[in-house]
Amino acid sequence: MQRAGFGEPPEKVFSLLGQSTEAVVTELFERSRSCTPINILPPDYRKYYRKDMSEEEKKAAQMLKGEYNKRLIIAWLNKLFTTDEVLREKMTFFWHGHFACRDDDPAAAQSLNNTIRKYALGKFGDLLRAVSKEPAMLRFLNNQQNRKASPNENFAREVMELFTLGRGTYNENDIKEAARAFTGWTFDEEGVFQFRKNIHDDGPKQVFGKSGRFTGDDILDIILERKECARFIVTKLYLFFVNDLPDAGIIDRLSKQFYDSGYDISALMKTMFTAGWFYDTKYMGALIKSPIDLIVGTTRMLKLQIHNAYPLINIQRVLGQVLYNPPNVAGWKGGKSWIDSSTLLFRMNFGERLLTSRPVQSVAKQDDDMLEKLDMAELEKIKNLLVVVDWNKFAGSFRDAKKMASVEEIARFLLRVKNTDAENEILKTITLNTDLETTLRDTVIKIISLPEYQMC
Amino acid sequence: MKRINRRDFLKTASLVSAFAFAPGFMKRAGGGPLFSPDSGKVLVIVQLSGGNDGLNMVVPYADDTYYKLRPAIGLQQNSVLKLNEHQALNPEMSGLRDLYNDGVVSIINNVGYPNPDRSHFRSMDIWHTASDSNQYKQTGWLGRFLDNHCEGGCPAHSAIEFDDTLSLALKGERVKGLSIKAPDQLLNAAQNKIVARINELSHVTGTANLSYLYSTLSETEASVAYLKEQFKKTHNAPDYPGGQFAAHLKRIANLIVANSDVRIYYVSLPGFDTHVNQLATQNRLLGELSAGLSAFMKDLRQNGKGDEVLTMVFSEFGRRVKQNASNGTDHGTASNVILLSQALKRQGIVNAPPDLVNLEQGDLRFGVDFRAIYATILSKWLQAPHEAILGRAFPVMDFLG
Repeated sequence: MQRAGFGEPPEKVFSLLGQSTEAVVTELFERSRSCTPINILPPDYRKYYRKDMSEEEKKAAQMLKGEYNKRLIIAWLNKLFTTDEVLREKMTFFWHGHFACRDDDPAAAQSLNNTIRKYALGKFGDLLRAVSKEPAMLRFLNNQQNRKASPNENFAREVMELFTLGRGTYNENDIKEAARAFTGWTFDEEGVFQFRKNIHDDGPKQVFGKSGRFTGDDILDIILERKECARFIVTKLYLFFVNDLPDAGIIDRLSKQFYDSGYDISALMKTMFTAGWFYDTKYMGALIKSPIDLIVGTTRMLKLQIHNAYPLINIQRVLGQVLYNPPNVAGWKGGKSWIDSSTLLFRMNFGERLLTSRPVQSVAKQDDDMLEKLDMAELEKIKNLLVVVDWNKFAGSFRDAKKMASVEEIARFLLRVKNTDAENEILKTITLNTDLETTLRDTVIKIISLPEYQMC
Repeated sequence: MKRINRRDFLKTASLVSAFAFAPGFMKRAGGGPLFSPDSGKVLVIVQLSGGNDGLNMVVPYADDTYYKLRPAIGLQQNSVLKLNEHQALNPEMSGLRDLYNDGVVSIINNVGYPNPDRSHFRSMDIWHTASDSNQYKQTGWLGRFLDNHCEGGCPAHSAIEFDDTLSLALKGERVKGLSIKAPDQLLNAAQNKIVARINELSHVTGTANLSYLYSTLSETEASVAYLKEQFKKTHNAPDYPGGQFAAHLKRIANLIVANSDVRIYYVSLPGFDTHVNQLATQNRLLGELSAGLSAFMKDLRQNGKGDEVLTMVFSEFGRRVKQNASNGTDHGTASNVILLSQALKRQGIVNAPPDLVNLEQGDLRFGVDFRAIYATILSKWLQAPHEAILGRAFPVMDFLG
């Protein structure tokens, strides 16, 4: 549940116990058949960005853009907190890191995100073609500057190096020629893809030993014909979903299956999630949670209600991963790179921060250490970070399923790494209070402060 | 063989003069000195974030083209602080001008790299990772220095950045720097009762990743305990100007004078993205930079640390030569790097002023690849193999002898 999604609350997890892996996985895919796009922009959004605006209007438009960009992040976060389409969202999250792109136009960013969502569980070829034609991607990779008279190779290079084939599988000539094929791929003022014939280089080209008057679409087809593409994608998926260390045998088999299936993402993921090796104990709890896994997982598992999620943007920033804002086109490195002295301390303090937040005055006392890193405007917002937990319901779901809500059961639910010395020691320090809420909060905070909680 | 760091050595050495004999007979199996006599050397990086306009910082006041292309924002000849017959400093930088006259400043013109990128994120990444402009590296040049230098293990505080997140520059494959927004904040986070208790627990088994978390925790707690003591030490410091930047420099000087076991300090001064009304913003920031550096250098020199510290000031790119319609400038390419130290062997302006006529699509052509500066610092100041760290060899410059 953690790997294929972001974690589920106890009642959901307990309801699945006893079912076969196949049944659980089938249900997971069923719930993600639908696709709910994100839409936070008014239909007449573009009216704010005309060319003939005064300085005042431009300034106001910039601020509005900034605000919409924040709302985009919040909208996706909220979706991740509550969605039923968990697998689709997890795949969207993965592809969003794979097809890493930044764009400060919220319309372009939203469009790219929804395109990824739409094709996240389909055929990789369709996903690749659609993403490559998104304005955000074309702009980010400078294809606007790629013209017949003066080609710009960035788009072609990144598509090959980072999105499909990986380094060492092509040469500079392939890139040069591919760049020529992508000339003409632009978009209009409404953010719609446009093929401009007059700047397109329609001359003969040679790519990967093939000759022809290739267009951009042809290049993508040629790339997909190469088995290295299947291997590259499978390897990335393996590293993200399974383990930091690639297993050559498994990747070989999956790559062949992926290629032969016409790059069917759903089929591949289904194979992965129902394979015996996926549940090998050596893989359990061996991955370090990404910041989004941490934030979303904690929220879902504890069924937190977060009122005003704005402070979570800053928290994402401190942890090193802000949705829609990968550091560069190579995406997020992940794994150990999430962890340095300050991010580790932040992660270990995160639980307490989240679960002891109170409205207005009290927050200041709990979060003294955060005050220093936020300016006054942010401070106002964080005072309103209000996290509500229904502890009774939480305890209830344990009692219903397990007949008791014990400290050990709660730890078993929250941690993917079991029974370490540290866990046992910390659990011993929990004193049972007459007040259920206090006991539960204390228990949960202590458990999620453990490094073990950072693993999934 | 365990690598002895400077602190261990101090504990066991009976005579301070034993330092001088160290390199002769203490050699690691690999051949490099186990204990470097220069390990007292500290590097301070000052990052001007946003793309600092070099032309209005180190002003080519004798070049007519400068005034032709900047009718509104060109700095007047009678206001700039002349350094030589070609270039002068921004009027707000009298502190730096005095340091220049003291012979503790080197200014390098035309620093950039081939096929420059004009995006903040991308260009800053390039400077942080020392990559080519079409490469993507995910570790920083100083992080890789730490990887190379810390084979036996280094404390987490070997490199400290004063910010709430750690820059890519300080992230190595195995070793990373420590970021601190403010000492109190760090102490609170580390001394949280639960966190401190977890650190005390024995941690035996687990996957490699979990072990990594525990070892990071233990190193962090050890560093915080160490820094807590170091931050308490004060000394006779000169007055520093107000503002966060100067406050960071003051803390850095404090730690240096307290002989802290920190090799690298990293601090940023943001706000240099001057597309609109450049003069007001940039002049103010440069004033802040100059006053801060002035107090910092005075502090170090008064306390005998002037030749133990090398400070490098850089920005991710310069700006276009011609001003824009909003009395500002847009993203450009090459700019200046400023070095400060009493140990500099080449003072003053070390190369020719920028050519404002032979531009590349309106931008300055670079003359010095920034990685040559890194190579020099790595080889000559940090005693590290620059080729391995930067990925290939770059020409070593002569500003450190």
